[in-house]
Amino acid sequence: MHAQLVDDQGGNGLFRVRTEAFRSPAIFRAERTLVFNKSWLYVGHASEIPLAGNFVTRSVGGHPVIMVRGRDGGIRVLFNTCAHQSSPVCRVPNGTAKFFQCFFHGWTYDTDGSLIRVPGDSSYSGKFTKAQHGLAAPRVGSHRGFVFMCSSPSTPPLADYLGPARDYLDLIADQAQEMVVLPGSHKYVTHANWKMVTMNGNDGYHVATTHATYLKYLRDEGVDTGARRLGRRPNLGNGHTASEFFGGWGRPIARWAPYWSDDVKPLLERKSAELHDRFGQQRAHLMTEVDRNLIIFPNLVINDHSSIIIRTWDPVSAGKVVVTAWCLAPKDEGPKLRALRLRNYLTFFGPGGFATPDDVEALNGVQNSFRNEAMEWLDVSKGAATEDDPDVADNADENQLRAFWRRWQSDMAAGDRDADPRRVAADA
Amino acid sequence: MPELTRPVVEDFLYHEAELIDSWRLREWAACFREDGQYIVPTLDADPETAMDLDPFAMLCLIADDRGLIDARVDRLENIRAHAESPRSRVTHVVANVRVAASDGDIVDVLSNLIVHRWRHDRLDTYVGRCRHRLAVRDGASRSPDPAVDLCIVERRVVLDLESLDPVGPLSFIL
Repeated sequence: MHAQLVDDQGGNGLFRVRTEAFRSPAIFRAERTLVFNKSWLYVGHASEIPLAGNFVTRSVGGHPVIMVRGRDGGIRVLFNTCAHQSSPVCRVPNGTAKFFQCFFHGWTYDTDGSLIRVPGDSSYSGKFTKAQHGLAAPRVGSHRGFVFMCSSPSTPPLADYLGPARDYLDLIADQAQEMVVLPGSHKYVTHANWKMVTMNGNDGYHVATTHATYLKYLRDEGVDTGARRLGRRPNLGNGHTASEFFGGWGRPIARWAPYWSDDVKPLLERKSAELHDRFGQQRAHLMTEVDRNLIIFPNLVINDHSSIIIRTWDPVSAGKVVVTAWCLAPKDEGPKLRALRLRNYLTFFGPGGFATPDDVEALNGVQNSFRNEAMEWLDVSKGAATEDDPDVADNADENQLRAFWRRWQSDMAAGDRDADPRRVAADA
Repeated sequence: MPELTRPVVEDFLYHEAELIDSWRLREWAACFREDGQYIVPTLDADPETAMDLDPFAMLCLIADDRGLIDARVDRLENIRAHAESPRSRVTHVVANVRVAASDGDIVDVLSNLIVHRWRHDRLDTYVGRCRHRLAVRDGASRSPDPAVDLCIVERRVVLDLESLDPVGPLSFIL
């Protein structure tokens, strides 16, 4: 049973997960249904499609989709699959369209997904109507420009699903009048199970050793890495978590650092003053001074610290994920701060960064080890005994990882109930 | 300025490739001028304009100024750069070299690049187009071999891959 893949000993202070959960194709197939199709999944940001007809195509939770802005200004997410014989109706990563035409037999759809033209439609019987053959679509929800989709009718609305995590998205969205995804994205593969990638985005423990050369780079730049301080690490419910800290580096939303030139200091002071005027001392402090990572279950992390990185991952198999990442920035921040933001982003993150390749190396190695079925357990116990103690604030504890696993266990247990023969008999 | 004919710049590119493949990265970094840059645009950049986009206004894969080139080499010389410890075996094949344009003391050299990278039982192949913006060093020795006096103002590699799906991260020097 799936629920037993997680061994949560609660007050005993031990927490472990069976390695089978990372290796098994059967569990991977079950996750598609029980986790990915039941969750709200990040699709993209509204700024990627600012004008009517703008679209992007991507794979979300294994579903090929088109995110498109309609003539009415609304954003829709459509399955990129012709209602006739399943050919993709759009085969480029982005662009502007008046309609989507499937080249296979010529069926043509409006940007709202409705079927508008079928060659030779007089040959169909009267029972065939165009209205029944539009592009299928998942549910769509958005919060402050962050667009999500959900394939299940029974999942609560996005606002309920996100819960307190909405406030953390607001802390990003409010940093400027208009926040935009910059041109260019990073797309790369990790030969690891998707859950290891989620854990990696949640993991403060690995930084000191895995990213030793990145930390050295920061020190060489003049960043006081010893100034790193820890902060809150709220469990936001539903598997979502945040961890807050002070990283020592410059924060392009209004926190200058000594390794940056003096000429950007007044720019940052002005932004900081504006945010304090608009949002008050407490909230502006969170936006300008506090670094944070936000994890939205199951596969979105937003790093709001030395830059803003939106990163999501699409599982391909039990041992492979495609990771895509974008840089979010104030539209009008100007060239100096933009350059600093991008430099902060690239020195840490991405396939050519000073940190991400070491994460990929670690995760690929882990997945390789999982081939050894003699190793049954993965340990996620760090900090478990003090998890509920508000006086302990160590981002290197694995509280966030356990919050993820408890949600995963709960989702997977729903499948166990559905598959329980006693329940099937009772329902009959 | 010595005449930068194709054989002269080819000698320079082959020398640079040898430095990278033999992991003599401090010498490689020293090929760059003080304001030299090493740029790799993202794979979703428009192939028509990727050679000319501003790497400090939009997201790239790599947008190193000279300071970051040196920092990248520092990292790769550190045994704790786990993604390259142990190091990849890297082989650059430089081909189709053309002297494209000459603007005063700067010459643009285009080439095609195939990089084979062997690591952890996998052979990755990176394919792309390269543009070297080369200049003669200030106070150059005027060596009998003109290639010795050249330095890199910008080295830009536009990968002709749609994503890094079939290949590993750019943890080495492309």
